[in-house]
Amino acid sequence: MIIGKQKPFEEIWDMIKNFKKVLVFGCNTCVAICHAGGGKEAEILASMLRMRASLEGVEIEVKHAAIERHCEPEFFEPVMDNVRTSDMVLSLACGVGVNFLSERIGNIPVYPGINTEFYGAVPKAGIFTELCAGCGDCILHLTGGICPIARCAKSLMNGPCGGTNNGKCEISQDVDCAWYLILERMKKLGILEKMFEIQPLRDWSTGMYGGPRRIILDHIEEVEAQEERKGS
Amino acid sequence: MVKAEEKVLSVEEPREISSGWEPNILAFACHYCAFAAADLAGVMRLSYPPTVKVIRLPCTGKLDYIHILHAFERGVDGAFVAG
Amino acid sequence: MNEKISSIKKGSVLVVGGGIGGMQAALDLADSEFKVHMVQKDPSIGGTMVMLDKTFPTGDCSMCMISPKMVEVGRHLNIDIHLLAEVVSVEGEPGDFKVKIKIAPRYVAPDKCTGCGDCETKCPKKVSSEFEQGLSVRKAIYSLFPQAVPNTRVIDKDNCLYFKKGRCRLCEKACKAGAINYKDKGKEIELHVGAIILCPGLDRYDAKVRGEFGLGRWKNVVTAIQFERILSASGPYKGEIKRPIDGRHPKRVAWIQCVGSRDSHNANPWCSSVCCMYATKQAIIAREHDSEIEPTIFFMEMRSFGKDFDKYVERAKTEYGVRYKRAMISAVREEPGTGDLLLRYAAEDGKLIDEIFDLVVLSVGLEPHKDSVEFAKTFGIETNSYRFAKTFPLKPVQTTRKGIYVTGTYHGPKDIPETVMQGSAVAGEVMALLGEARGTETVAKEFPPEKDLTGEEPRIGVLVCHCGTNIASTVEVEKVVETVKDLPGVVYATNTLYACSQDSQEMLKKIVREMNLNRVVVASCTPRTHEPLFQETIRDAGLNKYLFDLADIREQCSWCHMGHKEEATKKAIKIVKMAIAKARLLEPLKTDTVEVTPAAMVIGGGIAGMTTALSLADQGFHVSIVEREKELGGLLRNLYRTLEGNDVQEFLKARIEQVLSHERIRVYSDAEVKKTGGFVGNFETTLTNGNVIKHGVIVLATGGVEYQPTEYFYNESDRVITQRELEEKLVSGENPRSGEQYVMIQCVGSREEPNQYCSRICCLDAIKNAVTLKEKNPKAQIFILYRDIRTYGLREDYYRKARDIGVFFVRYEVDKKPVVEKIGDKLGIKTRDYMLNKELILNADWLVLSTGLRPHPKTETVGEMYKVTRNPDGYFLEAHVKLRPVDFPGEGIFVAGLAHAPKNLDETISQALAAAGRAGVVLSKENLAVSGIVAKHRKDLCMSCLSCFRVCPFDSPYIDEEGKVAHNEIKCHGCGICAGICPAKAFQVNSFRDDQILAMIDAAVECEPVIK
Repeated sequence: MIIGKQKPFEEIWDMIKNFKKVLVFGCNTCVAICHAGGGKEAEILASMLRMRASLEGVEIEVKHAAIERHCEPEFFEPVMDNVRTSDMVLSLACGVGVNFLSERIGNIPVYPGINTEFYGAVPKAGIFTELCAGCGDCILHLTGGICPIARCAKSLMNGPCGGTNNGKCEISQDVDCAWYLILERMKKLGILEKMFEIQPLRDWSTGMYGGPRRIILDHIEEVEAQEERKGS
Repeated sequence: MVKAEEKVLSVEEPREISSGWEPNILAFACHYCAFAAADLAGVMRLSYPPTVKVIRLPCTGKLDYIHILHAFERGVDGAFVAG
Repeated sequence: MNEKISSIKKGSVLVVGGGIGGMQAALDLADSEFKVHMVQKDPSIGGTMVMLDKTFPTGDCSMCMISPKMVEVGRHLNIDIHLLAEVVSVEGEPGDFKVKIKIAPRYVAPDKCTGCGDCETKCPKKVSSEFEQGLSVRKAIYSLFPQAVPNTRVIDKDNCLYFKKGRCRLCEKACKAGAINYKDKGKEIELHVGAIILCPGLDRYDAKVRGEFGLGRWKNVVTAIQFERILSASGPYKGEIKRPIDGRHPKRVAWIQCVGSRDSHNANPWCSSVCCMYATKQAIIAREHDSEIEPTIFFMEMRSFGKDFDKYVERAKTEYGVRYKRAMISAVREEPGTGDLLLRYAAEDGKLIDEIFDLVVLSVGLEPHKDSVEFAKTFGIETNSYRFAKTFPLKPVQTTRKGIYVTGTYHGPKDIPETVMQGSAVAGEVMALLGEARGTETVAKEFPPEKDLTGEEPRIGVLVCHCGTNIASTVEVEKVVETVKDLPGVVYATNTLYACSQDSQEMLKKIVREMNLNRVVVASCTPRTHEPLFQETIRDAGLNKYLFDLADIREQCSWCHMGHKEEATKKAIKIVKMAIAKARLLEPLKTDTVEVTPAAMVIGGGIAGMTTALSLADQGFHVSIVEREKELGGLLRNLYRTLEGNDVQEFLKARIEQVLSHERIRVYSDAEVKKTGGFVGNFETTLTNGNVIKHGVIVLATGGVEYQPTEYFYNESDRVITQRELEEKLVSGENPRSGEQYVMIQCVGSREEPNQYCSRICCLDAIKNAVTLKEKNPKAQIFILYRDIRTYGLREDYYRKARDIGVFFVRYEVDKKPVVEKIGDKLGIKTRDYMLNKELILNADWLVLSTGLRPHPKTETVGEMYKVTRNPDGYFLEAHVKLRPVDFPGEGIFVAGLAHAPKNLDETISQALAAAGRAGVVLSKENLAVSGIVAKHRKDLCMSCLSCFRVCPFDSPYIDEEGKVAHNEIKCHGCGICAGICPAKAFQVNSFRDDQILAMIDAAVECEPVIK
């Protein structure tokens, strides 16, 4: 799941203060689950912005709305009127949603209300942890299911660095050393010898270093395209 | 959220309090403890400003941010959550 | 049990005493289809607990906990409360007793009195308040305390001016309900009941007898109960800690422990069990009230033996700076002119120290009522030599007369949870005795069918109450009516003198029908006490009871704003408008019911599990016992004798026999729970042996294990044994030689991190074995090295006996533990003797380790399976440490025995009976009613994010077969925590929906200017 965190209120205020009609726009999928950008947070933020405006003595109309997902066009339909009558949209979706909407609504600016942080898990209520970096070339089968790309501060591929300290990372005592975890896990799996296989230099171009990525499922895309042709 | 809220409060300049002004306060009280305490205050004839009004909740865990924000937007001066 | 003593048993029970123990027994029984008659000497129920400010070890407010229970007892359809009443005679036999009860005149008619208190305000006579322990005054017409149940006032004839001088009658004039009756003569009634429960409660030791402490002479010496009142926010000083003499805030406050306790020469020989803890609590609370206070507790032995008590004392020391001084205070003297108090005590090195304090609290002990022997005679039961009811260690709640049971402090000194536990235990015993008579004397209320509101607009009726002058003297009631009568949705508004009176109820019903109302708002007093009454009334008029809202304009308006008529009226209008705003949005709610499988499953076949099973089976329910070992009996198989000398193995054999031969008990041994599902009333369990059991309740009696020591050469020398091993030796006929030296070390593996708790059994074990050794050969030498000897309650006798027959007790400190070395066949033990202030060197033939208890290793997995939490020590954590000692937050699951905390055999039996009593309440119902105030879950909005699932204290959200979050309303208590956290707003709590709350907010602020 994508984990986001709401931006500091001041930063958000600075974004919207020069507009007259603002729509705080939540997304009810990933960012709602991490209590950062769902419909509920949109309503709360809208209320806070209205109060701020009134304290500052400026007239800003702040509305709020939310849809199921900001990354597919059809969901936007029911709220597009609301979007179009605003002169600024504060999107609480992840960065994907902000991009996606920006491309679709012409001259209305879409600003991000949250910082999109990482792909994470929710081990306990209120705790979100980064476990995957979306590098595009998964090696988890080699590392006992624990990712050194995402969870080692240096993304090392061949064992820990010298900073490993009783199972913790040198950057903080609160961060586990990924390679320590990998080692322990491999011991349990009885494949410790794999640790000694040297991993070759990695091709980082599969990740975001190789430019934006795109996946096309031909069998679905083709059907869609045919349907569209029929329709038109 | 909480941090943001603190900030929004901090920007408000302290304003002159005109004489006779009483803050309009809404209390959100848990049925089991704080609401009972408000009752006891009455039984003991303890006095407090009549501008304090109580909204009973089944538990303060029921309270939502939006209840408080809504109250502030509608012009209450203070919200008192007790439970 | 289940002896068929008479062919026709009565389905009613007499509960003598209205304290927390009696209330618990009464509620359990009445909720389980027995008629209950409660007899109480005082004008209100409540007992001792209502006088307490806070309770240990959680610091919960005592009144907040007991008050809802009192209201529940007071309103229960099947509990009749007889106040100012005493039992005069008891005839008959178990199942059918004839009881005569004398009721003293109250001079106020309960059916007319509304509890408004106008009479009290007008009464000119002030009397020292018994409830406030003489620290403030009450009137001659009064209620015992503000939250009294019932709230009917009573005239204190001995102080009433009219009764004494024939003139006054002001209360009569003040009472608009005409409830005063000076001619009241009282009455005598006769009842037929199937069983009798005695819970008359306690007296406190009169510390004035011990003149050296200066109570009554020095004003700044107060008793602990007086200090409770001083701490109480509703007490004489409104929670401000002040000295009685000058009202100054005291700084140095001393507690003197064991006043009137543990003193066989001058006072009571027993330990009162609770004073160490209540003093610690008072010290902590005092510090919380006023951080300037420096508390010192002078004690002989710290007896914090209960669950999590040691941790509490530790916190008192480290977080609150409470100073504990092990010293006996011989006298308290006042420094002339200052009110300060001089305490003289011996320091550990024997030097005498004088120290000045601002306030001294005497930790007075508990004792039976003065008339307890007479009381016993009335019921035909025996007392023990200390005037407590005589009971038996293996039948802890039965008196010497069959069919009469005892609970609470009449059984022996004990704290609230143990009293509550015994309350449920006697209920369990009575249910077993009278099982077949269930439901024969109870009544149920019949209601007309509910009106269908489909398509109707709100038609709200508003009733504004004067409450005599209580509301009307501060709030202009007519103006309130005038202002709200034309609000949208309101079709009728009127005022009434007393909304709660019988005629007003009839009027309300009539208006509902005539005006075709579909929602009702009453503006009067607090919903906490009066909502159910009005709900019942509108239900009687054919409306769903949830179409009601109560606007509290008395407690939360008129009483707080006296003398501010205009503002109070404005506020009252607003409160009523808020209620109306909510009422417009109220919906009829369905109260579902679920069927109950009348069977129980008990996990654990030790003595706790077996006792619960037998009691439930005797009540008439089928019980499955799941035991992971091949044999029943658990830890008790290693125990041979109780402290009192009972043969445990014989008892155990008989118990197992009873269990195995009971027609309604099935034992699954060598089996464990593999899978569990369902909820209260409808559980389904699959065992590891493949059996599938359907049952309505679960009792977790998974037991404990003995700590296996690694200390003191236990694994290296066969001369180092545990108490259990010593007991076995003694039972097998081994006798000590003359001069043979036994050294016992206490607290091995207990009361230290990481096991910072008292195992409770070890002191008694050591003393039991020491006494046996001495009795076998008085020339055997026995040393018990201890930290605190915790022979609480009446067990103190055995400590005294051990000392008398020559057992040596030597104290050690935890940071200076005895040092043991092996010297040939013997053991050299070095320890410091604080009495002699010298190093003591012992040369022991045997070193006996008093090892404590641990939770059973299975507690963790069982806990996870049933989602019940455990305390830091691994024991199951009950729903509430004071008032729900055998329940879990999740309904239908109960706990008994060592799985809950270390305890002695009699306490385990009590708790097991209590679990049976509580479980019996559930199982006796054909259907369980589910409250209408529950959280409603909308699956279409839900994202299955699990927030609710994780935060719900009652486990009502669950993951369904489709792998999505769903909600079980039967488990839901309507707290709304789910609604608060749900990011999708998929939860709304009935009658507390967001739209309803927002509407109330809007109504509250309608006239206020919006921020500019």
